[in-house]
Amino acid sequence: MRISVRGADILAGAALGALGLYIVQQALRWDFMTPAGPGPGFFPLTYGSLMVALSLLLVVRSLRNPALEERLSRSQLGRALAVWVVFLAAVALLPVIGFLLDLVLLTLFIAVVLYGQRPRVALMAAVGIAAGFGLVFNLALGLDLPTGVLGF
Amino acid sequence: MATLDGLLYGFSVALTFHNVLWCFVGVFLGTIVGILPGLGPAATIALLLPLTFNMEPTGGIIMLAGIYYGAKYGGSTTSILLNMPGEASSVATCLDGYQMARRGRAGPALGIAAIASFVAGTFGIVALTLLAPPIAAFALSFSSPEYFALMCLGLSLVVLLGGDSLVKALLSMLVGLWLASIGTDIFTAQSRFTFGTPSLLDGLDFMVIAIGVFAVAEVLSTAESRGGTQALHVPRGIRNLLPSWDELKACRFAFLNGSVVGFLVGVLPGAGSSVASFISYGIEKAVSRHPERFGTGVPEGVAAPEGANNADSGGALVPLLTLGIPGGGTTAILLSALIMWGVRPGPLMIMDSPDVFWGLVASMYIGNVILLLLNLPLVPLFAQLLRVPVWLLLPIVLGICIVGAYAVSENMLDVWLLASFGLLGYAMGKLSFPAAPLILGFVLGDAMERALRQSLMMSQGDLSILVSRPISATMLAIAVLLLMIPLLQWHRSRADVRGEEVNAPKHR
Repeated sequence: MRISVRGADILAGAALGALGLYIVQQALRWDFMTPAGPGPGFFPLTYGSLMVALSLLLVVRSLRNPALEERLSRSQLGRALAVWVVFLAAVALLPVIGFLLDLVLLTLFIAVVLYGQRPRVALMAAVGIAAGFGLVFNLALGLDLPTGVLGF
Repeated sequence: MATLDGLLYGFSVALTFHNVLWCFVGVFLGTIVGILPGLGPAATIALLLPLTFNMEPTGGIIMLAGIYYGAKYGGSTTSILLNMPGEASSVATCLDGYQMARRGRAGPALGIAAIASFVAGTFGIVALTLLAPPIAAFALSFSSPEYFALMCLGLSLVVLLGGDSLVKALLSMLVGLWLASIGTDIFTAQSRFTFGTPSLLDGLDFMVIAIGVFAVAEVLSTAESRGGTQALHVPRGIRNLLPSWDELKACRFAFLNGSVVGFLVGVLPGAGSSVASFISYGIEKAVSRHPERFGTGVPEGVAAPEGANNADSGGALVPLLTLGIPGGGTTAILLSALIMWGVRPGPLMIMDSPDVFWGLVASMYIGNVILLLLNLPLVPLFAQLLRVPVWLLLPIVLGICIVGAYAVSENMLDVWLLASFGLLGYAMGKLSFPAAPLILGFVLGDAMERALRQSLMMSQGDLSILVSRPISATMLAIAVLLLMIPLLQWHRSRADVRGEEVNAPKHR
């Protein structure tokens, strides 16, 4: 099943228009001009208004232009979003299990679930990658990596 | 001391065993630092500064400066291979460098980046040698109106970076301007768009945005299909791993463009090397016979920004050494290092410390050659990194992204923002919203707002200050002309269509 780019453009235009309205609404709460010159609201009000206008133009163009009926593959989007959701979960787990263990789990998901690699091979690779990161970034370069409750 | 005499004296200082060794250590460390996002030259120099307390000033500054310009060489490597900018100034290299890699031309792209860096780096050093005092005087004439005009010129390049849809490019740029506004207004201390989060009071970090929008987004894009075992195709044979003579010839103007633009923008304190690389890229595209090819993987699209960000380091040393004015974070730390050694940068530095000044300048010639000899043979090796299976490469890249974001300030918020910008970058790619204008808007937005407000404070609200000064008026005029390009193209295409209708054979 495929998703219309034109539909996505209209949604994007609407989202950006909403962002522009939010920016304008916030900017109106700050000084536009002061005796010393432009205030903190000057720039946001300017680019926020432009954002609203251009978003409207994008939506209108998308509605009027039938040539934009390209399709995005739902299965491709699904794979990409799955990786993003797992990445988000990995970020959430960072303060709990620490970076090295987190990277092992992330590698296992990508290798086994996404690319169908054998679990044993994937586990060995995941441990190797995590060890490499620990050696290079932590020991050699002295960078602090996020640690979890276990202390690493 | 005449220039040539000074330079010869400098070589006699720089070509000692110890100073050549420090030069090598500096450029080698700089290359590594440039490759790895999350470890910038400023942080590295700050970390190594205590180790140099007992060194001779000449050797110390040679090593630290080597890290500074060496990082510019390294930053292009991950930009080209992984669409992940290693340095802020390497973002523009992603636009065509990664596309060249996708077409199996990773090796030539890396080679062109190394050669452009050498040519422009050499130009920057020669210009520093010959033109330092008058160029410094020119830089001093830049005030807030000129900086505002320069930022406008930079932003007007969006029409050249925008691809097929100018509306989408402008929207990307406006989002970038908004992201730049997040934080505390420096004039009034008003917090803007911080959503009540204290961590956002300092604003967003450029590298978090750049790594998210480019590298994480690319990971998501690559993960769409189960596809082959390699993320990118790497052809075999040394001939395919180095640039061809035709590709190098095609980059002649790009080398010159990058050299001149990079040096001139680098001289301006606070302008930033990312500005130089984008301006150079924009100029290269504007003068090209085939501008539509930019963004698809053209060698000039790599040569111009890479040259600019290396020539920029020579330019940035002009105000530092001749006026004692650092142009950014890294040169500010170099300034503190010089002061620590009892060397006072400024108009008298050439007379008071000729061994430090000329020794440093001469060592940059040597360092530039070392960098070329170090990087060019490594091109085939770096290109082989792309043979790593995709199921290994993706988690490695994500791991580096996390390390890079966390290293900014060891704040988990930056990692969360990285993930968010990754999704944003992916969505932008799917919907054909170009990422470069967003980055450009973010880089320039804050400085542009500050320059405008300072200008109007100087003139007590009178806007004519922006057009009454010759340099700012000229740059604003060029910006307006650039913004009119889409209108002229639309007018020309309408005239072409009308011409075709008139000439079309009439059917009975």
